[in-house]
Amino acid sequence: MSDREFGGNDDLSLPKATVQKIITEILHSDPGVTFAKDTRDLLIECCVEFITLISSEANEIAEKDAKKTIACEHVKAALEELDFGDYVPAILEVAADYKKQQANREKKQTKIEQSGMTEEELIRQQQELFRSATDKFNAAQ
Amino acid sequence: MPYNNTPIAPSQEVSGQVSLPLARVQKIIHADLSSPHVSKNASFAIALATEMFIQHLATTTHNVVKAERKPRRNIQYRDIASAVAKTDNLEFLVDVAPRTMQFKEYKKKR
Repeated sequence: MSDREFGGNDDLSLPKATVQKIITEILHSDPGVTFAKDTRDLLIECCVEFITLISSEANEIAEKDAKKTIACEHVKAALEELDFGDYVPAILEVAADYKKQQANREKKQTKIEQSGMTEEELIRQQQELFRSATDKFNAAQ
Repeated sequence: MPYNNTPIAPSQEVSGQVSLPLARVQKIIHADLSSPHVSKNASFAIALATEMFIQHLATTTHNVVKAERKPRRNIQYRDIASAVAKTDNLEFLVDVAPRTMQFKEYKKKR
């Protein structure tokens, strides 16, 4: 396998353990069945080929769309073009979820930046709030 | 409730996550393309599609083995090659997973 060219100088593949995990989950209905080691490695090569295939198709679609960046839409169209249209509904669902997560993360980040204070100042402010809350609590006793 | 019995459509639980590492997937994407402009959501979609693809390929190969007269417990290289040869949308893998042939057939071809 070392004489295989990947068109790049680094080792382009996916982590074997992760792929093995996905395989095991799929085959859980038939627990005695396993994939031979070289078969699993072949599966990984097929995946790399798949990624390359989808990427180039999506790339062409993006170019035809006069867009410089490949977007989710182009990936979706590529999948349909390559006869993997069954994947599209599930991908749209999970991708929407992922986008929401990303948006939330960015919101939290900008809120901290927008306060205009450094982390130390924010921590100090928080401690003061705690202190005043404790004082109020003690006063009410 | 209408049940989708398509054997090919893989199951996918909904969570905004994917098991495969995004960075590795992105590396593979960029190794092939001339332009580095891929949106993060697009890379995520590709990673997700790849995960579903693994499920699809594993299931199809498993079905090939199950359909044999003496089903084995250990799935081998030639089973993937079989699955690739039989399934339409796996045609692009014909070079990656070629059908193995007996040496005497190979000699005959030369």
